[in-house]
Amino acid sequence: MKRSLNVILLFIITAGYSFGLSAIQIMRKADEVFTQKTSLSVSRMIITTSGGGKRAFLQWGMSLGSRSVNKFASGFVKGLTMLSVNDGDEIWVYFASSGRTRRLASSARNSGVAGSDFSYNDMSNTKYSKSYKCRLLSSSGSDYSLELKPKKNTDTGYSKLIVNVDKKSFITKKILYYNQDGGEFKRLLIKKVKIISGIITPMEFEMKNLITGNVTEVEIIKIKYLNRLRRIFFSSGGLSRTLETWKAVYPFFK
Amino acid sequence: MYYKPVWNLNKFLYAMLFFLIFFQNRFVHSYDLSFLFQTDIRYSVEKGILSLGGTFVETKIDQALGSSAAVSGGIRLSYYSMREYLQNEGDIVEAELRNTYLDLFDFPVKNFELRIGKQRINIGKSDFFRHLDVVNPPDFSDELRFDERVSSLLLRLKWTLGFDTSWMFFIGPGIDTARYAYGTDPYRAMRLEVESYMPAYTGAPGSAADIFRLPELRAENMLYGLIFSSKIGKFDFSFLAVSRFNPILMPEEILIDSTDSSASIIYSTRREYVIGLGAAGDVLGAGVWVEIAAKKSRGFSTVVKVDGSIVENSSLLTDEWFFTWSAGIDYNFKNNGPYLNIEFSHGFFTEMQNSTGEGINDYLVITIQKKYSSDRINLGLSLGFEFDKLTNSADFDDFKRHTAWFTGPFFKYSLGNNVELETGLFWVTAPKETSFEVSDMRALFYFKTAAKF
Repeated sequence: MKRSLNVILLFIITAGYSFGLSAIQIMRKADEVFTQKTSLSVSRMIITTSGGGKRAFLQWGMSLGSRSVNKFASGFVKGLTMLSVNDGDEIWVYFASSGRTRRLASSARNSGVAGSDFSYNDMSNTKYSKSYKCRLLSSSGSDYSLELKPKKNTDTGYSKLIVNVDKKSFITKKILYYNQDGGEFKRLLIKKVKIISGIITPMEFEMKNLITGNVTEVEIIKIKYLNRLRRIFFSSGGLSRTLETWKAVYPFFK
Repeated sequence: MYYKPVWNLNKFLYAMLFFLIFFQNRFVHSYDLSFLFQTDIRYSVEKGILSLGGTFVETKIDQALGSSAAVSGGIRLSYYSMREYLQNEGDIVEAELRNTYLDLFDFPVKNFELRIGKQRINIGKSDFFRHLDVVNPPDFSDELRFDERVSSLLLRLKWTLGFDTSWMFFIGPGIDTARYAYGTDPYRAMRLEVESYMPAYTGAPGSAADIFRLPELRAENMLYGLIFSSKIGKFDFSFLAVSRFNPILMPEEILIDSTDSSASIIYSTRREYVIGLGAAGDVLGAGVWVEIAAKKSRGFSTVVKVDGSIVENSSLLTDEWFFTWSAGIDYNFKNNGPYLNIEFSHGFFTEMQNSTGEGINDYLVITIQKKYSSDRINLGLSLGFEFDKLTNSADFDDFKRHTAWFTGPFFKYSLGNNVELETGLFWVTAPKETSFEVSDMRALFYFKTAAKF
């Protein structure tokens, strides 16, 4: 009886709190859930073209505060490394073939990473509540539906996003991206979420290009949350560090 | 002459690398081995020559040594059949030690890094004309990869402050000269075709021998420099100061013996100082960059002696400061549109101010490309122009006579995860007095294959 009362009380508190949230508050909470925490990860990216052709890459990642770094660990792009600074305000790319590090122009951030349907902007540690104006479209059912439009002087590569956020957990379940012409462009689905070390972690997600029909799937193979990481990996000058160096400093990657 | 000890050191490094590659599983548990194979077939339309170019297999190994040290090594075996096209020599297989070094992290104290070995130091911001990448000599062994650099033996100490600021000091013997497609002798310079003008002095064509007069291995002959990199607002910048011997050897003396129509050409180099500033950033969504290099070398003359008597003394270089620079912009059009890159350069990155005040030309390269099918297909077109320096009284006819241009359409296709195919064309239209004309690459079709595992 006491347990039932507790559950009812919790429901009333949660529901009452959620109903009172504005669109920007909902998006901030959703950002909070999905903002990458200080962590190490290994993921697999599979690109399937509309013609059925497939390509797969292994990717290693590290996150520290507002910075994240991703390194391709296989295929022709092996060694290609991306650094996102200040939640995606700056993106640096290290090209292993030429040994050069380059800061991406903001117009280039909307192009796909290694032929995938994720742009450099999508891959960076973006906080939607920071870059977009939010409007609540509906709160019926189990999801909030939000419309996000880029803030003035912010080039996100999209004219609008429709985001579905779970009312209970504030997990972003789906994002529909609209291109500059206002047409539907891409669709992101979060397919699997796990709680690891008490943190909600998206484990599988899929980006579909609604114009070309190409699909990019990302599966987190393993992830580990830590309290701190070495800063040397998160500077533009540190992107040339080899996969072996990553392994040596963090045996997690072995 | 000091190549011998350095060449022996190279051989030692080769041996160490082979040892690591073939026996690594006996004593280490973690390593990263990768292979790159590349070849292309080229057809020179004007000469009617079909040849293999840019063919190599490269093996790289990265090996961590505990958590604060790592070794990296790479060997490239190249095959050239371009001799006929370039110098009428035979095919050559060449081994080259690529980046091969030891890294010590947090050494000697925290936030410092020490790297010892053959390495490249790239700080240039430009895409085509990298005037600041002067630490390593240019690698001209493949005309289709003109912006490559040769790895040099260096000791490099880097101090990182925070995320964005660093100081780097480097020093090395500076023994590497510019590399040409000449094969097994890594120190051989671009050969001067003395034979063609020998008859003017001897009455008959003859043979010529090359002699290299390079600085001895002494402390005062070292290459050294300093690089400071940081960020201001949306721009990152680098400042560089380097003292080196210019890697492009020049003929200092041509000694002709009229009795047997033979000649000796003595090539040498000269100390050069480079101060440079590079910046790159973002303006209204476009990437912009600029590089400015101020260079000064000692004066240089070529003396021609026939039977010991000076018959000609040409001053080639003055000892005054001169500037080369480049600036560029790139932009990705919206909705996965095409990518545009425009770069202007005052001077080729190896170009020097000669003693007559001429010699610095202007260049413009425009590239547009578009990717399709998840980047599997990359279609592009490059247009390049060379504008030779003109006098104030030059008219339009002079401009036409001193302007060369090339067009280079290309098509790339990715096959699976590991193979890339590329085909393209270089079509050069070059009046006689331009540098493009000297390159002798009128029209060239190529088909390139690259595989990486």
